[in-house]
Amino acid sequence: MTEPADAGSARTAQSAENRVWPTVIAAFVALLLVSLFDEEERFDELALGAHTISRFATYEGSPIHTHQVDEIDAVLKASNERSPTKQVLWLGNSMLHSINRASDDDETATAILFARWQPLGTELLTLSFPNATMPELLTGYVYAASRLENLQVAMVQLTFDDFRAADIRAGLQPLLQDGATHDTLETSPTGRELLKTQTTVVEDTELAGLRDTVQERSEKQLNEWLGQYWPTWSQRPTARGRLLSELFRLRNTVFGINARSKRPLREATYQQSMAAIRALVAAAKTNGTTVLLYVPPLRTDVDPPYIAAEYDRFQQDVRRLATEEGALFANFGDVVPGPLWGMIAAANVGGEPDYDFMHFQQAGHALLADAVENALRVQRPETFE
Amino acid sequence: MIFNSVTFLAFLCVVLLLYWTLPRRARLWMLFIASLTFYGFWRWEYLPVMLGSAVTDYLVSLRIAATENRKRRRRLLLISLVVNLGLLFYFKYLQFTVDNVWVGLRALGVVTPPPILDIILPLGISFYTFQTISYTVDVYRKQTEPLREFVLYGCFVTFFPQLVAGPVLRLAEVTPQLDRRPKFTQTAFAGGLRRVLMGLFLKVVVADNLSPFVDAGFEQDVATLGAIDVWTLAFMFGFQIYCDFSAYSHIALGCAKMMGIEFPENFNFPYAASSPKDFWGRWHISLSSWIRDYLYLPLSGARFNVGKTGSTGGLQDAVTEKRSDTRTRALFLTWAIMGLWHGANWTFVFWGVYHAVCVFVFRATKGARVRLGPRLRRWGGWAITLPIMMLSWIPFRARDLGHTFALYAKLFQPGGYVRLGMRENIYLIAALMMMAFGATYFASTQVVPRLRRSPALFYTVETATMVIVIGLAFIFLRPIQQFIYFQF
Repeated sequence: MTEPADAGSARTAQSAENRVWPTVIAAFVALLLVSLFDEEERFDELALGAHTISRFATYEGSPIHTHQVDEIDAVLKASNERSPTKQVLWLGNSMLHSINRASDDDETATAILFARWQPLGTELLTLSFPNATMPELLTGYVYAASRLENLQVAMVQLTFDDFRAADIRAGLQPLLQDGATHDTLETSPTGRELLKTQTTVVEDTELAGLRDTVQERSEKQLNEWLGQYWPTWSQRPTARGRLLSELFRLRNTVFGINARSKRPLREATYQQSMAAIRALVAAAKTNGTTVLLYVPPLRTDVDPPYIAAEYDRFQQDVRRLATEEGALFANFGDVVPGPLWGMIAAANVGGEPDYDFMHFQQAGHALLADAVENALRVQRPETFE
Repeated sequence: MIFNSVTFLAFLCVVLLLYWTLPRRARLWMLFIASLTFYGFWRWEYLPVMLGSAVTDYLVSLRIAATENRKRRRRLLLISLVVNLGLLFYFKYLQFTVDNVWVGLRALGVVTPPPILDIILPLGISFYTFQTISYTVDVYRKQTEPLREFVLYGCFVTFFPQLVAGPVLRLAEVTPQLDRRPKFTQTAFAGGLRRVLMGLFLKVVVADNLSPFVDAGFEQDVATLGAIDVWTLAFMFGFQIYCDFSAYSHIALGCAKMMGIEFPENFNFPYAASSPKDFWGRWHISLSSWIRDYLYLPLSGARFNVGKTGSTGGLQDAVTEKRSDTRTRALFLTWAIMGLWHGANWTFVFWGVYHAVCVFVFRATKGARVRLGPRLRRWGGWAITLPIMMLSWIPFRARDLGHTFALYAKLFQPGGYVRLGMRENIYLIAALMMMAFGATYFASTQVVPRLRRSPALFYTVETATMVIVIGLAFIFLRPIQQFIYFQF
């Protein structure tokens, strides 16, 4: 009796499925591909592109401007040790630490103002986090304020773009565990909501699923051992970051999203962000700290990525909030003219560099520094007396 | 020990090597100690709880089998139930009970807050207590003889692939395979390895990356959400919990298969179900069959037919039951208990009753459905069943009943269908997941059988698929989240 013509093929395919070697070959190829991601990348700066650099000012070897949680204490401690008469804290996003089309001796607004104010006994310190949300600025303020000995003014940059999110990134969540920060946040409904989002901080968020277990220790040791002896293992975070950023770019390409695409307001996070700023001003009031809320410069030579009516509403809301809460207000929207901005890396696959609506050149930093100083001299002259 | 970790992979390699090289008795003791070690890597101090439950049922079952006196057998069974359900009540439901008693006391004017008992829920307690209860009940029903060899029994109860989150196994399903190690075949090993890798992919690449979106959505102020947001959250959590739980099952079945041991399937494309009954024949099959055999059938007064039970899934009838009102009462009570089994919160009870209503309506409309053509029953049924089943995940994930009802209320607000309240990416990902599920179902049922006719093409596609699966699982392998069903 003969078998059907395709019985042999079916049997062969069936037997192929039952073999280990396709899986072994696949594992080899997969690991080879992963091993190609051998370059370290700063993903928080990936979006800036080649045109823009980050610069964090220092004074006599000590940082006065940082975006890293583990450096904040160094910034605050060094300033306290210098015993300035007055301390000013500046909170914002990457606009404060990025210079578009930078040359070697370009300075940020922080460096410019620090040099100007320090002889007057006033020290400027800056905390700026890429895409800083308002809850993050609130947390940063409360943490720093509990440690600074002569804090007089907090200048808070309110970027409309950053009102589209209201979470606190994992890297900043350790600040919520600080006793003084925790106690201050507990006094407001917004602060209590923030604290709910983080009950326990793990040293390594990669092991969060193993918190308080025996396996946490073994996993940590095995990871360290593998990272030490197998380079491909330690390349995984880079591979992950690259994959996710390429998926982001692919999404933008498919949907035609670029730096100029209109970003609509999201009411939920907008309200949460406004509540966070209210809580910041309230916390500052109890410390006797004056708050300057300002709308940052916006590029106006190109149609900005905001819906005009929503952006108008935002500016009015900030002004109203400042009035109601007893904070100072300034609008620096027109301070930096179009030619002093720059370009940003393409947000889609194969695209050209696009208009940068967040980061300007050195001259823009100088103009921002002047605008900030003028606002303080008019609204709070005792800052410099 | 968590599956998605380097520690577990190292553990598995060592266990497999010893499993295939040791003689029988040493192999069984190795498996038993390895399983205890697996559990102890979570918290070793809870090992006595698990061993206490296991030893109780071991001894009770031997005593039951040793006597024909019905009253004595029943008393012994009661001991087992009291110990196991007592443990479950203490660790899982005591705080819940206290909180609810305090609600009553508050109504009587008591102002002090309820005591916080600070009881940690032992990992897997809901699973291993059910497994040992089923063993004792089967001995009581004379469906099986008790195991006299303690180490073999210990392996059955604590077998690490299924210890923490199932599948809930019957004695006859696994013990003969533990007792006599099957012959090593490349078929089984290769198949098991592929399942483990696929499970890791579903967990660390898919489920863990869906989680932040789902968490953010459910934490968002309900007032800012619309109807489309609620539908999106329901589907997203449905995708997350399926990928998470089926991942666990894949890894569990895969590990067992690498030892030559076949577990019953726990999932069978549940989101392709054409009715609520069909859904429960495809989702967490081992649990729904356990509930049928040990809860629903006894409650409905049905005669227990040995030949028609086992882990085939669903609340199917083993025999013709008695009156329909008895069946209905049994249906609702069973589902309420099944809901409560998942968690000590009224949301889970609501979830259970929701499914009971679905099954009840399905039964009640049988007359109308039989008049429909098979295609309409299949695809029309799917189009109705899928959204209903997805919506059932809202109470499963919501904080409390108030949150649940607030979310459900959004579905009836027409204005909520014209605005979006969450980050744009979540809608995109939900749409992509829906397409991916459809594509996977189509590929599994239509494409793969055809591919098998061409070995060269099959090799190529198989290898290419595994490159993606292994590469991504390798990149994303981190124990950042426990499995969702660990909390049960």
